[in-house]
Amino acid sequence: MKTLRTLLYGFVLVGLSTCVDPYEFEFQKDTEENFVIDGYLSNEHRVHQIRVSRTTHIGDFNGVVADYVTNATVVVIDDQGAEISFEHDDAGVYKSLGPVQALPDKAYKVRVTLINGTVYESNFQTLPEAAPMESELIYELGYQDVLVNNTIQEEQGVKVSAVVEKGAENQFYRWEMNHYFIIESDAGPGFRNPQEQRGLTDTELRFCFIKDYPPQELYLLENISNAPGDTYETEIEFIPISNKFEYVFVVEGRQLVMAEDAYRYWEDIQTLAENAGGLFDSAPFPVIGNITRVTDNPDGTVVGLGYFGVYNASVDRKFMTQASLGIDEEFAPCTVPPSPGGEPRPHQCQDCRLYEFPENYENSPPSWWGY
Amino acid sequence: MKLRTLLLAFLAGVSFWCHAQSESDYLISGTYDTPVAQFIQESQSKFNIKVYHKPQWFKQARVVGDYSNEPLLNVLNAALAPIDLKVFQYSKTLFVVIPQTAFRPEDAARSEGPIPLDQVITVGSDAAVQGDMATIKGYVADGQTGDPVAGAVVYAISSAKGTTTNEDGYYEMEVPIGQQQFRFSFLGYQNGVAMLDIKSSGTFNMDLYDQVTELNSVTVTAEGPDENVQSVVMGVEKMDIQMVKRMPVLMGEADVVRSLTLLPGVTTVGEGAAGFNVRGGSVGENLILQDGSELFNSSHLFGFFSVFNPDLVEDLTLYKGGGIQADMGGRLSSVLNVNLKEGDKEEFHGRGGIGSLMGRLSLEGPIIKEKSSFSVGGRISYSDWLLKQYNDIDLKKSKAGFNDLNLKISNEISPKDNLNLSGYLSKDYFKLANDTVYTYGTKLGSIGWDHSFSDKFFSYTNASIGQYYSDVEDEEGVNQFEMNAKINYLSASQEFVSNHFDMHELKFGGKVTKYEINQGELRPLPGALNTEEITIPEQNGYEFGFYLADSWTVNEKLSVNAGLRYSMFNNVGPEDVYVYQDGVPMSTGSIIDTLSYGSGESIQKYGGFEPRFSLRYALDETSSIKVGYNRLRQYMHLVSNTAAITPVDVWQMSNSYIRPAVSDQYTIGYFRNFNDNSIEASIELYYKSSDDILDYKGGANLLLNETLETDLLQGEGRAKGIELSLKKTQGRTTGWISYTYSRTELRAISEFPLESVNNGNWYPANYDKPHNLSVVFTHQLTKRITFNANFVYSTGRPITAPTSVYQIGPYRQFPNYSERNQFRIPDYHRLDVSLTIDRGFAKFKKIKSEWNFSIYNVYGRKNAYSIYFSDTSRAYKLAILGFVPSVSYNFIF
Repeated sequence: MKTLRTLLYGFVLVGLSTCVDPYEFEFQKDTEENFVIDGYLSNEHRVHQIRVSRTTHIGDFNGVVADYVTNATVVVIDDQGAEISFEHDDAGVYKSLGPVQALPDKAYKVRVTLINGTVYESNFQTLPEAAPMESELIYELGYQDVLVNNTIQEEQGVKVSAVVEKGAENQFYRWEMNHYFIIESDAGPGFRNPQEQRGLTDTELRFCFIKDYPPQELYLLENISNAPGDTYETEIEFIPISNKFEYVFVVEGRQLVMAEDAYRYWEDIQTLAENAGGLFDSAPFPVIGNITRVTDNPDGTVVGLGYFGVYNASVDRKFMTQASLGIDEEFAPCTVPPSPGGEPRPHQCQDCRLYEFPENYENSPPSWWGY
Repeated sequence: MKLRTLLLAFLAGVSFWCHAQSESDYLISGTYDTPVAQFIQESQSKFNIKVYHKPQWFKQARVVGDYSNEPLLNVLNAALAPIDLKVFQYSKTLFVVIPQTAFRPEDAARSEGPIPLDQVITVGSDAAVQGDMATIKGYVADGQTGDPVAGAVVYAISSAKGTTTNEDGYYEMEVPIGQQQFRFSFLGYQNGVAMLDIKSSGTFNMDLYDQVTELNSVTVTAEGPDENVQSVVMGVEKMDIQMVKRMPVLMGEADVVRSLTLLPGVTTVGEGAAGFNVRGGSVGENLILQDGSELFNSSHLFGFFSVFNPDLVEDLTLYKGGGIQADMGGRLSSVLNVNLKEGDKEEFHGRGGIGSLMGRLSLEGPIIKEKSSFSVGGRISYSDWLLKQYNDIDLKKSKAGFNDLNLKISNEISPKDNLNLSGYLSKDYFKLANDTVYTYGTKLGSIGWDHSFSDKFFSYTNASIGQYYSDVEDEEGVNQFEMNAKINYLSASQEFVSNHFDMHELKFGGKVTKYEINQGELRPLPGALNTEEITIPEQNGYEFGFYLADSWTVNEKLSVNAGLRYSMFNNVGPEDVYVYQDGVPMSTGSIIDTLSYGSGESIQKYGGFEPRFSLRYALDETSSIKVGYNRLRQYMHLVSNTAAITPVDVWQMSNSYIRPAVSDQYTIGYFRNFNDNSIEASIELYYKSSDDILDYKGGANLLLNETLETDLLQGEGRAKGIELSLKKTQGRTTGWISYTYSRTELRAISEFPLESVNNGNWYPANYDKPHNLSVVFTHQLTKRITFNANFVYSTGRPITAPTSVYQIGPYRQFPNYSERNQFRIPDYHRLDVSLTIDRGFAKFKKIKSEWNFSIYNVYGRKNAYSIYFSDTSRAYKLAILGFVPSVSYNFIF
């Protein structure tokens, strides 16, 4: 129904004299804070993480800082009482002390004990059956229409799809997508490729391995059980060609198979994210996950926010080059702007270590990235 | 030129013949000493005519005399003169009783030129009398231009003599000496009427003026000037379709429903929203009837235009809450009754118009002259250009539009029987980008038979069949599908009206409606890879209503309108009904059994009495107090969780889990007219309580949901309001000011606390807008130019806003919405103006044209359409429809 809403919404906008202005909304001041617990355990044997934070009063929120909880005790407990401990790492994220994984014959719940003794727990979750197919991405060069100066033009890019196989029962998927690429400082040292700078430390670099900001979308799919055994492709994203494709561009897709309840939670989150508050939008509502306050909550009406899930996960990565895409693009070199005076400061175009991304691996990419 | 002259002469000749024939039929003979009301009823039956009147106007007046072939008009006027009333013949079979001193709306139309009817003009002189006949001659000219009017009919009413003017507008005829009324008529002009006292042969010239007031303003003329004071029932609003057409329009199209929102107690949730809200009711609580057939969607293009073609509307009446009498029911808040025009039984006409987004054309005329007629009209949009203006890639590639068609056939099958057939087809479509196509539409057909058993006993029979459907088709991707939903209904009603008892009008009858609701069937298209067929089981039900109502004029001061309606609903099979486990929230997981019902087998029955009562006590001739109470039940529910309804919203009938909604409304009002009824003032207060109104749980999935009841709650509502209205109804400047203060709150409590809305506390409804002010101003600048202005102000609608934000994973921040409708968007106000230039019928041309220049939102206020919140929960105000000028061209031929 998103499409219907878009059109309804768009029709009334009509471009006649539509305008959007910032609005000083008088938010409620006396709202109680709530706690948010968000994370999952999967069957991948790796370090898992759970984030604990507080809601931020909207009137005080400047869009920058979330109110992370850094001093809670976080454990995942299985149905036989065994505990997996998590320790705070950074920004409210608690990481397992080592690689852990969910096992198919157990149920798990998260327990978060705040510094004041208040305890929040999820309900028990079990590992869903694996999907008929592990994560498999495919990609192809394609085009999408874009508006340029109010005229429709085609933009070249990469269409990334996931291949899904039908099962005997409906399956519920979410994909976590990440992008990696090699960035070049064109005014940096004269290495011709990353291999030439392999092993260098404490020196300027021309090529760096980068993890990009994650897409701000939720990729969800309910895989209907009709025609078991058949496979099909479902489009995940379209990535416009840019200088990130100059050398190697990696798309990583982590396929998370989950229970229907968890899927519906993410579906609600997605619905709210698309809600523009218009006449044709469904009324917003508090999204209730599976987190409940255990202490001082006799009738069970005090709930936390977020969701703790147990997912069946698999990962696929696609490495793309211009050659594999069949393109031969030249991108404008990165140039150092003239310094207004004084000693010029180091610039990203001279040393790629200065680029700020969620991860700048510099010369040491993740282990899966062989070069 | 000759052909045109011949045609004009032919038309004029036909017209003359018709009138001469008709009026010679209405002759009264015999001795009478009869109450006027009874005399009128007898005359209606005898001559098969309609005399618009209110029995209470006549008080104790009687028709007394011994007549021999005396024209009906003379007899009635003689009886009505002592009580300051007179009767006016509007057309061949239509008479209207009006006050001697307030002849509207023709007063306004003729104020610049026509001769007052009361004025007696002497022709010739006593000294020149020769014999008992005289020759009258003169010219008939266009009052605006002075040009002669060729082919005009000159008719002496009482002597039944007539002639036509020649090419120079000249006429000459021989008539008896004495006082008599002359009528001068020509197509497209108002009739010129003059009372001539003919002493001897002489000259009389007549100027004719363009026909400003059209036939379909008959709604106004049918009422007494003090209708608002004298009528018993409150909350009944009638709108003159001509007024609707002259109001400032959005994008060139007059809109019936949008005009309604200028009335006290009627609101809308916002610009571009479909439907309307009446006295604290949701859009789904309005019963909308077109020629007796039920409409489930009253809008085109998402709410921009109403389904009613303004060229075809005869009259429209909105019965607000307490105004709904026992003969109507099925909804809690209002009944909007729109009647379409019957075609002209004598001449062919056409009319149409071109606006920014659509064009329309309608034709009417006789099938068998004087016996049967047709009226057909359609509209088609060309609105795609609008979407291309929007700076969005999908919308640029989208299409949206609609078309509709009305047909009405009227047939006088005998002097006592009239048969009407009415049909309506509409289709809206919109295609988003290259894939999803939405269509929705309505198909209606109805047949009505009016029969007069006697002059005191009448029968009205109606049968309707209808369908509202919505289809969605997605032709791309792995999820290709087509989805169809529809509501079918079939209804039959029978009403009897008896005037056997003095001062009583009894109505009794019944109605049965069969509903079939198919909330959706989703089928994969051949290219679909990931679509599952879903079929929501069809719902079937029968709604019955039986009633008895009496309109009793107790005495001059006191009138009572009382009625009792019994309604019932039977939800029947075939259907499988899920049984849910007790003690846990209803969900698909709590289904413990399924009960199967066979075709026609009763699943659940509901029913109850619905008393309706109104009382009017006249304080004096110009003021009255009225009180009212009524109870209403609603078995068909519109389920929506959006502020404005959408074409794919589903309807749900009462069943094992959904109880009928019931409301009780109490009203009291004070009505007073000033300045010879030219100014009407009123104040009305109402309180309405409702039970079992449908609400929805947070995050409800209402589409293709086989267990819809698991996402719904039934709650209660309370609404109260005060409506103030001041209207000026006569003169060159007319209009009204209305102010309403109202509150509407809902409460939905579940036995499971987490399901309750806002923790079970009262909260404002989406359409709760406490302050509403409407000012409607119309000024006739000249005969042909009318200026209109509307100003509206209302409190902003409630919205649900986030109270905090939180972060999920690496994704963006999400707003945390806590309680429903605890905030409001900013207040709304807007001024619209329009200028209507009526070019009239050019001399010897048969097309009358009219231009409407409108400006919507003159001062370009950026009214909030919505407030939305970004990822960082920063608030933004979206405004639409700023300064919007438009032009439309209308024509009549």
